[in-house]
Amino acid sequence: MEFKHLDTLLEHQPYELRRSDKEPLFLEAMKAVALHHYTNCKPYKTLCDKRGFDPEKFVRLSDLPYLPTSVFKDALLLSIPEKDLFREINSSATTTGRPSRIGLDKPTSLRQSKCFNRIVLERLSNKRRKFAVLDVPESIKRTSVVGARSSTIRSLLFCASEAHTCVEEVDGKFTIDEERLDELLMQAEKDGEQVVIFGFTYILYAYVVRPLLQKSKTYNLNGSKIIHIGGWKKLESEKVSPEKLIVDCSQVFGVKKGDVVDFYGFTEQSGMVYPTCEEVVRHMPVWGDVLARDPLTLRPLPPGKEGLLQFITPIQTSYPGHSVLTEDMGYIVGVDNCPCGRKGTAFKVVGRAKQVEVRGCGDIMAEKFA
Amino acid sequence: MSDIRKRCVDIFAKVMEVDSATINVDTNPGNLSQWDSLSHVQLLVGLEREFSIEINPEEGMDLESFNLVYEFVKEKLS
Repeated sequence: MEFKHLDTLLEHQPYELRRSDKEPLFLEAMKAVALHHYTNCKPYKTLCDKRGFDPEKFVRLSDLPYLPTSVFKDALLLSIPEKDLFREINSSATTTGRPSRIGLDKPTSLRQSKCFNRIVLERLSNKRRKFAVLDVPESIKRTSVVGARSSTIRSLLFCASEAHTCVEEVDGKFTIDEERLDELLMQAEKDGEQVVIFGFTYILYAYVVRPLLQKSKTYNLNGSKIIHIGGWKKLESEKVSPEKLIVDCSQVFGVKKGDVVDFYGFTEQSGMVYPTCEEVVRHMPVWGDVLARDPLTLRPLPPGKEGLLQFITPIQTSYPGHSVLTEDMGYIVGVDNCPCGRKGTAFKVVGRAKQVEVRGCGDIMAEKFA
Repeated sequence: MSDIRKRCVDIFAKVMEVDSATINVDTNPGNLSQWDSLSHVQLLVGLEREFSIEINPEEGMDLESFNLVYEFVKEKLS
């Protein structure tokens, strides 16, 4: 299988193209990939036929049919022969209690890793650093079965020079190993070393940042990065806004506010990851785009209007994950005009749609804490 | 076997916990199950220490077979 336009897109740096330069190429890449899924995945063909969608003729991205994330919980959808299946990824069982099932062949798996890594490096810089991981040692150990949480952590380790975990399990409950974390951060401060502190959002704030603030304990880790990932629901209920988290992290760790980075992504489009930029918005790389749709009519919304986010990318060729309607609400901030300098569509994620129960990796992790 | 090649094989065998006889030019993450994201980082750290070289993440991403690793190290040392 050859995807000429997709390959051309992937030759570009993630955020270097203006919409006018990207759109013709992106549309051609999407046409080729949509046609591939239409030809090779029967359920996707049925969906397209029902909607009267011709993958060779569409002219607007908003015309592309979308699959809701729930579809991936019902069946393993494939656009490749089963013999070419290289790996099956299961999400953490969230809303419905049933995990999503995603089938990868080697080219898709490789492409996803490369896309993910390039976005991470663009945000963190091309330098390997020591990682302080706010999770248990098992999360980074080699095991035959890798859970979604562990998989998320391990996917970031390609830019690590060392990884140290700072959570211990006592009687089935998790606690922060404060001594270990302090030792790591004090050493980094002393050596002037730029490190990465990585954790799920709630754990980072509730079990590290807030206790340190209460003790008036601060570090000077200028140039280090604080990366967090996972849901906001638990913090929202404690009246901690994203802005407060940034301010407090900056104060405790002595880093610039722009070095506190919130990663967003979802299993149905692994490889696509959306870190917040220095202006606290997220950007679509040249190999992706996003639309906000009205939750009731499902019509595309203009910039500034909140709706369900639909993510579009040609990087998955083993399963029809090229146009996914999520249960996440957000809005388009603008195109090609972010003060951070990154081109492309800028957007914000504001949370889950109201009727959805939130139980992602971060929420499950939070429940394990003592 | 050249000295550099032998030292690369030794690091591979140690990090992946396999017999050095199983490492050949075609060894890659697809045919060596021990070669995962974690052992890849350990491999890069091992190579950096052994040869006193620096490998940035972007360079590390492309080292997807024993042969690529060996050629990369040779190039760095030349």
